[in-house]
Amino acid sequence: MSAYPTTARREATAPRPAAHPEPSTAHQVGRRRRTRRALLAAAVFLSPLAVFYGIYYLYAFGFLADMSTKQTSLSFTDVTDVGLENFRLVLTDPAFHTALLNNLIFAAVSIVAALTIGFFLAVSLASGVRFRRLFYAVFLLPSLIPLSLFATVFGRMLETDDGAVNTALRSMGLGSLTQDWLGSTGPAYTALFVLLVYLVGLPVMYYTSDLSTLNTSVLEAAMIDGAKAGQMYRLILFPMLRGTHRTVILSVLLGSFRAFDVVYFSSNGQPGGRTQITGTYLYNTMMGSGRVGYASAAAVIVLVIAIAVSAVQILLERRSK
Amino acid sequence: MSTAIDNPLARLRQRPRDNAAVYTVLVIGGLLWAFPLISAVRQSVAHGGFGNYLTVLTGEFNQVSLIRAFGNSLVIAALHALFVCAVGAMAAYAFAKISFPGREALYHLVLIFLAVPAVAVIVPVYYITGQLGLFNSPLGVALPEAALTLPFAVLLLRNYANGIPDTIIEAARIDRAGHARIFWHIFLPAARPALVNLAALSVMWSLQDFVFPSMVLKNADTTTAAQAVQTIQSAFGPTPEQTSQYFAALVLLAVPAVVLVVAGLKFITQGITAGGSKE
Amino acid sequence: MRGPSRALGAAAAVLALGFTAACGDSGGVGGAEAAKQDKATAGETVTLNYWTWFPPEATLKEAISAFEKANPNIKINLREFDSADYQKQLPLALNGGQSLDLVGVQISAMTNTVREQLRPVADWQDELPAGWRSDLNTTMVTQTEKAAKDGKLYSVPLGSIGSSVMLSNAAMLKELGIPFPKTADELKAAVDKIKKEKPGVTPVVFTGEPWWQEEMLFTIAGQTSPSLSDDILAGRKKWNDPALVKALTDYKSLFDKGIISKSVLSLKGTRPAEQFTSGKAAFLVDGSWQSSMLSAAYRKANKIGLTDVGASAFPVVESGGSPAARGYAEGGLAIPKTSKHVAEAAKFVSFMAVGAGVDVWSKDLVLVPAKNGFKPDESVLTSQAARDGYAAVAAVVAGAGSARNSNQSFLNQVEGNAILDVLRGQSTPQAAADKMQKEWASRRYDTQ
Repeated sequence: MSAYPTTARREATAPRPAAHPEPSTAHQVGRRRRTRRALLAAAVFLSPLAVFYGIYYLYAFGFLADMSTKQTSLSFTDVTDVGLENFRLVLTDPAFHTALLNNLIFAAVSIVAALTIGFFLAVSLASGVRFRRLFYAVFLLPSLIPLSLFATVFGRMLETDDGAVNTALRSMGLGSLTQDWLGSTGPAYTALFVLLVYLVGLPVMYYTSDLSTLNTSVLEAAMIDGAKAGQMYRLILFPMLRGTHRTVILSVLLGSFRAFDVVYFSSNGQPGGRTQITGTYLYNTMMGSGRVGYASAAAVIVLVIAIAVSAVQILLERRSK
Repeated sequence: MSTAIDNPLARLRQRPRDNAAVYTVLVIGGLLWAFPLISAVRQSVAHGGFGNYLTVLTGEFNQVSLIRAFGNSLVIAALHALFVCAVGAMAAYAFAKISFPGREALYHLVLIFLAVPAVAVIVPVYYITGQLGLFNSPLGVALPEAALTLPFAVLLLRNYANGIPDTIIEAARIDRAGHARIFWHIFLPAARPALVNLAALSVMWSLQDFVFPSMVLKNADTTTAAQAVQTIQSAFGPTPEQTSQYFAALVLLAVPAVVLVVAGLKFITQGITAGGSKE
Repeated sequence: MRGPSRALGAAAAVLALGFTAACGDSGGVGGAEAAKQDKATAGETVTLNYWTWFPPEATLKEAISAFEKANPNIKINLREFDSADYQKQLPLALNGGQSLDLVGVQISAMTNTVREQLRPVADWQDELPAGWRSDLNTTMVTQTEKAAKDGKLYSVPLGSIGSSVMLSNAAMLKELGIPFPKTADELKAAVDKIKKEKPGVTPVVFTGEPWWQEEMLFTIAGQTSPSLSDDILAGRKKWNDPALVKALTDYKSLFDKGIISKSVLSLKGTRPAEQFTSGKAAFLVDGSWQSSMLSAAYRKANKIGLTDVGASAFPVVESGGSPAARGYAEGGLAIPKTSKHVAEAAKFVSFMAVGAGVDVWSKDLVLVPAKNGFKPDESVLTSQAARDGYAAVAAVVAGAGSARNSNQSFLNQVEGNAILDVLRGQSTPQAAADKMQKEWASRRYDTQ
């Protein structure tokens, strides 16, 4: 999952306007008028946002909720009402359970990769190595080009006979490791995990930025005390970036629901639909068949879960202020 | 970033052994990371050499021309960035500089939609696009893309706006300037760094988008680069030469994104990390 | 201040660009109405937009240029798609109001997903030559009608196809002295010999994609139970019927016996055909639409370096079985409601189905033509292997015991994957069959 940067650091609640000390009647009337003017101004400035939200979120969600109780095709004619049947079918579909589980698994892997590999890369690059810009570009590139492209190239690499991975293994004398990567569950998951690790670029960006504003006096003190490099990484730097870790974790978690290209173009759920995620499940359900109602019900369920996660995140942020 | 002279993190590499370890990991890691693209380039010249690139650049595959696809991608990306920056700036101004009852609650309500995946709304977006008559139009792609980017835009810009001192604004209000004037003459210029970052990010995300183009753009001459990855696939038939050409096409499709992103890397980084400015 | 005004100028330019390019299409969303016809003035060229997945581009381009020569004021703009992708793209485009004049329709797979956007043939048959219906094979026309939920004819079939059949690199077989295998045991002997003499060649290839597995399975099943596919899809028999479980076991046995290598299952798209045409595979299992490779002229035109190609039905696995394939009318040509040039489009349809076009495209042997009494020009079959091959394929397609039908979403989500699980050893045939039956009975994949 590319870490969708959904959580920039949320600052503390915005500065409040200066309070007026004596509430006499004249002031109260004045305050009400000011409030009304402020509301009007706010409404004007927020109106474009309201239009976008109104159409693409509120109307869209209403449409989904309506469609989810129907059965119809892409032409939206010939609509039959089926009540909650679609929801029952989605919730009892083992493929859907697999998709949800995979969302979590892939998010977990992305998080672990970000907190270890991403962390290490960011620190190393921030320590002033030579060719820093080149390394930076190389490590970030997979995350920045269209994922449809990178995942397609990666998928081709996994071909059993001619794929670059197996060819390279053979040429290195590791022929026994070659296999049909997308043919069985274990290797397929492994391949996808590797693909996710390639997308560690965005967490690296988070760490890099926070490292540049780090208070390094503790580090210097530890150096004087003779701490080894490994200890400094593990025992000092890692804990110091706790806030960034949390940002990365939440960002990756939210991004996991938005993932689609990364699986669709590489494994497309193979083997046997076992590596599919909610994104590919929704897309494949909608396309090509007349199961728009079913797809809508599945979309509603995914949205409920995703928004719940987002709401939890907001609550956590507010509480931590 | 601190210079090499007084970069305290450089101490992590002070011992030669640690230094060597870091460089080894970076070099091996770099090679691994570059491997997929290098192998794609290698396969693209396996049968037919570098001439494949010329063939692919000037040809049409399933009626899709790569150059036209780049152009389409750029137009949509520009529209997307425009909408996001304009609407986001206005909303951020309201959330940061106008105090009105219910502001915080509304703000958090706006942010909840950060989690909405594009794939979840493709059914309604398809219907809406039809009703608005926007199939095969760049707007038909840029509008939903913008809608999905706006929560992040509001978050980013509002955070930055909180760092713009209120004193200037108060001074203008005392001079009886209206919100419109303040927004245009004070807020926008002050927010320019964040707006640039946001625009760079928006362009990058739009270039990566596959889902919305795949639903809205059906004509071969409106296809975007990310979409073309799939559309041109069946045009390359069953000969090794054509497979090489397909890889050449993939490599070419990556180039504009790479160029734009490397050029705007600084802004993208800053944008993602919410304008990393300290208090 | 200069900053904002410069930005504003740029913004205005982008917006202007966006809006001029914005003139998009409105939806057919909500049910399209038949578009009004453009009256073509004499001497003015009419351009028809033609989307299809089949016949292949090379074949169609020839037919199209012959048509354009005979009709100088009509130009056809062709766009080809990959078969599986087309099933998704056409409904999406037609429902989005895409203006198309001619569309190919996968008769069994796509008729119902797009028929609401097509003009029924009855509406424009006046533009076809009189008596066109009796010129076409009755079975194929009836099959095309039955494919639609409301029993109406929505497309004109060009011919019929069947799958699976097996193509061979006849030159390689001759070189190694291998006769064309008719049974699984003969195939094993052939495979062993190939592996010994030509280690770099994969003996048998076909695509490992989920949807193809059904073709293989029902071909093998059809060798002993010809109507099994029809029975199961109509609900007369269950997916875990013993005959189907046996077919699954037989299919898997081909892998266990070393006849087919598991690496084949990772081949996608055109890769199997690519390996065959470049000489890296000896046998290609595909549909009868690949018969074009039997034609020497076709091979030359497409730079395929094989000197001789043969074909036959897929080898019989169970002793006592007979060669089988599933066949159906295919290559339907339809006119969408969004077309503004129905008269001209109908001209092309009649050209391709009953007119001079049949001579052109049938040379590439992609379909058994629907035109009654038509015999394809067999001069393109320059070798005995090719002639035998064509005869064998035509025979097995004509004698098809079941229709080449499926429930597409069930196939893509459940059936294909279940069969692949068996082949990869991750599930037993009985368990997979039970799973398919359970999912089928859940009604989750019922079409509307």
